Amino acid sequence: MFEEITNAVVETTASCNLNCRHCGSNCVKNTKANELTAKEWLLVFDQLRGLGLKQLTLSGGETTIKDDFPQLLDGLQEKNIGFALITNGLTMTDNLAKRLKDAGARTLGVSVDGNSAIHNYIRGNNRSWLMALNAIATAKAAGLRVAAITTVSRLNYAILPELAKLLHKVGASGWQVQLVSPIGRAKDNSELAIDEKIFREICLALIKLRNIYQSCLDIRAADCFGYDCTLLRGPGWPGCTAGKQTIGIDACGNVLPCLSLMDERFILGNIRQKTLKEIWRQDNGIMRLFRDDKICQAAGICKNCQKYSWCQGGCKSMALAHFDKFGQAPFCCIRSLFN
Amino acid sequence: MNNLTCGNALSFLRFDLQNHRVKVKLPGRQDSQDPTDGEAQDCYLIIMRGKTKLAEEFMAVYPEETKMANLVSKILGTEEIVCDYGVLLDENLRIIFAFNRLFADYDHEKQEVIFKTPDQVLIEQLNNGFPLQEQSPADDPSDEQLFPLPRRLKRGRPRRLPDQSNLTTLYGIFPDDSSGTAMIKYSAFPAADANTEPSASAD
Repeated sequence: MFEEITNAVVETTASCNLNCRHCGSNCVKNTKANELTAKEWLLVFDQLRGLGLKQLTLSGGETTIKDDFPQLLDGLQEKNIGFALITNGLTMTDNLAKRLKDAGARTLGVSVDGNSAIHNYIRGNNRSWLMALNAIATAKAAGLRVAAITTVSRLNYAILPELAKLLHKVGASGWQVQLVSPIGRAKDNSELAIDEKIFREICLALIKLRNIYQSCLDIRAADCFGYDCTLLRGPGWPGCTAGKQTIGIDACGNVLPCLSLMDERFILGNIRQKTLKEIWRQDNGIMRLFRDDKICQAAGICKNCQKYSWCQGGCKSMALAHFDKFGQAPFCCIRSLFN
Repeated sequence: MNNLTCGNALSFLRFDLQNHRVKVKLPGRQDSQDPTDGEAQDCYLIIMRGKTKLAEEFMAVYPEETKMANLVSKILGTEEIVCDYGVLLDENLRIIFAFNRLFADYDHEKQEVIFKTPDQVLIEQLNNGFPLQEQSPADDPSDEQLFPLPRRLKRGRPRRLPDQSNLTTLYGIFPDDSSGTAMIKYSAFPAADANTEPSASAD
């Protein structure tokens, strides 16, 4: 019995108009050869819908600079497929915000990584911070739900309270906080890396901020914070759903259990060679690794944890980035706060 | 006691303003053929207060920033607030130039009015807390802080001059008893041009 794919995150393009120091996908200005076209993506979305899709997230690169992005929006609107879009905000205008709303965008995720100095440094563009904030204000004015996304690193963890205040004021209604992971370019920028002490401070700050902004800014820690912690993200954490209910597809059609697991070892197949149904329903070693909880044994710092049978070491992408194997969470809010 | 004439009134006011004398290099008009444009000239610099809708004013001063309008409205607010203006008067005490001190200030060393970049303005306000609020009467400066020109000012909206020069006037900011000498903002128009009431509205 196969579960439905309820959550798909797709890299519509690897091309980006920024060159961020923490980019896990190593995105650059020029588009990868052989990327899926809007027409191909729309066929993929049809397949995903047939397999139970509930939440589609368009990620990148920067989706809005994809050559045939207008056609992609037209198709999504025509097929009535709701979606979330993640953007750095550089291309946002009133017209684009309205177009996204009309096309069925449910949420716009805008990356904001600090104050002007920090954000612009990380993003390598001295206007990117204001443009990101403007994207939030513009999307909000167009009637879109806007969530900011912050990758927390050594550079910005100390200003989370300042950032929460700012995001609320410019119009964000949600805020996802995720940890920098040593993959892609972040691997080469050790100045970004966090340690256990910093992680604990991040957790404490988020707990406090969730309390302060509970009525106006939905603050959530991402999966990479480890085992379920209602203090950080509210109740109902399902554990890592990569390969179980979640799928990632990269710009060239490679299907992965999660888009954060951009590693050749975990490519399940390519959408140009097989149907998504064939890829999803195959029973091979990679799929079992993600679906059979007995395969990944607890290791290292998680070895004796009583929560492991359910937690499975938290976010597999984080485990892989830090230890090159699954079975332990480099950062765990429960371990950090209560041990 | 002598009768008060225009001439001796000016002399009296100049004397009163002697501590406000500055040399200013005003930017010339783009189409100006006048070689003296851009040269430092003697002026009086005073500070006056006026109400303004700051976001609208920002867009008038930095028209290239239309794409940022939504953020600008959030940061600078859409309600009228009181702002300090630096006002430059010529030898005849006619207003020749004025600038919102949130956007620009007089640099004594360079003898110029230096405008901030739009990013500087926005980031400054973001760092100061925003949007700016209407000041309460208690925040009003004392009379000593203000130049003793009539304080009863008509206040209106910024308007763009009809010549497409992107120079703007804060239409209607002038003493009640004047007959239409508009305050010229962000422009280096000769004082005589200040009598030309703009006909096109940027609203």
